[in-house]
Amino acid sequence: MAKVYNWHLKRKVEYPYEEARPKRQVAWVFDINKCIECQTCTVACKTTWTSGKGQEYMLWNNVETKPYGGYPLGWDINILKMHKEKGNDRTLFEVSPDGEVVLGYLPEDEDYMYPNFGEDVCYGIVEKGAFFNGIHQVWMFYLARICNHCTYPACLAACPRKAIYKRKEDGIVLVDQERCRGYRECVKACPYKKVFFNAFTRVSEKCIACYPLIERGEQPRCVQTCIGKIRLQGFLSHPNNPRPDNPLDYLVYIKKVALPLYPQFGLEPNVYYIPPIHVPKQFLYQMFGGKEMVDRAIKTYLNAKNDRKLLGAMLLFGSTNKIIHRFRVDKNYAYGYDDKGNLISKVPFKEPVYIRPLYDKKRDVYRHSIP
Amino acid sequence: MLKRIALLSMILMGCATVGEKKEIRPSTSAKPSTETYTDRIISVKVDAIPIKDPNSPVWLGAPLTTLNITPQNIITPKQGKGTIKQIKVRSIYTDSELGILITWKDETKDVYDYSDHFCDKVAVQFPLDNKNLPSFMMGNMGGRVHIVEWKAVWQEDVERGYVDINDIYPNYWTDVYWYVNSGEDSVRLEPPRIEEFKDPEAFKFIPAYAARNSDMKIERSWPVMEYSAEGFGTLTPQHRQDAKGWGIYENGEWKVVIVVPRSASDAYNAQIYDKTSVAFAVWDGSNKDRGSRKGYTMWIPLELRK
Repeated sequence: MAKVYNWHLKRKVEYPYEEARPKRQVAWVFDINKCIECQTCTVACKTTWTSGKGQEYMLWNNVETKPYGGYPLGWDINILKMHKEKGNDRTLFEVSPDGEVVLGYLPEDEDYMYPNFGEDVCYGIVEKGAFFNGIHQVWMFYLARICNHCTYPACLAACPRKAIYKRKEDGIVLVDQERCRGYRECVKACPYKKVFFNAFTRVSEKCIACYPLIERGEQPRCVQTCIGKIRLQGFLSHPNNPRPDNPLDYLVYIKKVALPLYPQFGLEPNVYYIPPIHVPKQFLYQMFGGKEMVDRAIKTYLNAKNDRKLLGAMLLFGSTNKIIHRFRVDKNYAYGYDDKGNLISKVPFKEPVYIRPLYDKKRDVYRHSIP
Repeated sequence: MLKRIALLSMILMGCATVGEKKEIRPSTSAKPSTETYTDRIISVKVDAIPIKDPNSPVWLGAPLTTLNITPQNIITPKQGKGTIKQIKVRSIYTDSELGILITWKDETKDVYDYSDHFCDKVAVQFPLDNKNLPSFMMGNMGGRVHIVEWKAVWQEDVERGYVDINDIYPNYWTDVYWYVNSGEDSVRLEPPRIEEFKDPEAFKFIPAYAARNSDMKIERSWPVMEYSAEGFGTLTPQHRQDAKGWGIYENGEWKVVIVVPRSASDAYNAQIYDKTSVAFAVWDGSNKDRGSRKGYTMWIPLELRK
């Protein structure tokens, strides 16, 4: 195996292919403090991409409730257990068993039968006399998931036919629908279980990052439709050359407020999560790269009200369908620009308030709670 | 009583004609062969190959070759422990075609391909240049091989129609299959089958079909596919499909016939005159065999007995 640099782990890791970063890497930031699990993203994705034969069970985008939910069932628990048994200080590639490219497992048929398992289920029961002291003793949170379009995708590495490829121009990972023969090595290899086998076509499929939209400068459907405005899609620069005016670079590389999911697996996933602030830290340490990363991200997030640039970057979430390549803030607004420098978003730090009289004389009507 | 006997006789007579059993006989010998081999395959000449009848006595006229199967543990991903230990092979030929009958014990009949379930398969491999044999592992760069693969799910496709989602998951349903059931007033009680996909627009929502994946054929004449390969990971469907085949499962055993033209104008096909070599690969779906997770044989000499 080749040695490639993984900036999440800050070391060289093993991977079957040489390091070949794309010109720019498609990436997302999800602020899961704001997610209400309305599943609008799931429905938008489903109706756009997976309404065909054999795609009935596919959820390229899903939102699951942690700690108990997961689709397919127990995807995270299963791979974490396997990883722990092998010594989880090394990546899934570094602990691959003999005859395998990467440590993984093929979910059973039944694992796909309960997409809503654990939905809205709390960690425990609220005891008598319990009170809130900053961390919820009984907790749950929503985890929105799509393909991570990893820098070192396990699906790509495991495909013996080289039917999976990562695009040079934007790092989107795709399954070649003409070349795939349905061996499901990718389904087995992906620790996030975001490749799905289509039993009708007998070929595997996965999230395509809505590349037809991205190619015309628009954010994917799951981002555009997000009710809670928790998502921002953009492009990450090379980890050695972050641009402070790129909102993705700023949130991920510079402020380090958004963290990768299970970076210990070694795939360098490119969906970055702002961790939920009221969840026991131990749980978050396991998910988002350890104590140092999680503590710093939460501290930074809680201080956003005093950090206008950070707050400005976060205000741009859900403010436009277009991809924001550059941003800036001034005293009153956060501004987003496209790749040509055109202003595509302008969000005030403080929403203007209009107070209208209860009675509108002109129309002879009373206004009740109408903004 | 007499009527019953007459009816039974008619049924039996009718059955006897199924699979062209009566017409096809080996031209060299009508008797079952007693020859057995483990290191070569001897093909005998017949008038016609009973493609759809692996139980035809015509096959018994050819010597029996028993071959050991080795688990593929050379390249990754590896098979690990294989479940199929041996295959038995007989071969017959005509002026224009070569037929190979492969039988092997398999306790489980795995037909469908879904989720973590894989179908049973077998493949026969021929070298394009039988004097300079390429690697027995699907050839090598510059050493092309001609591969014919049979799959249990393709057998099902041919015999009973394309295996639909309705066959595997009867209750799977998407609210709207675009361009299929739009505009219907009545409430459907079951999801539409592929036969109801009439509008070409509907097929755009079947990605592998829309991408013209050669393995994804809704209409299939034979349960086999022909490929070319020059090493692992290079398996490529041939534009022209000349091979035929048939498979049946009975008494815990697969019996699969594969027939190829001996002299095809297709430059990607092996030309089979008096002798060549063949290699086999076999997959047990229950063992989650697929791709390189398979059992194989090395090259075995095949001789066409005059």
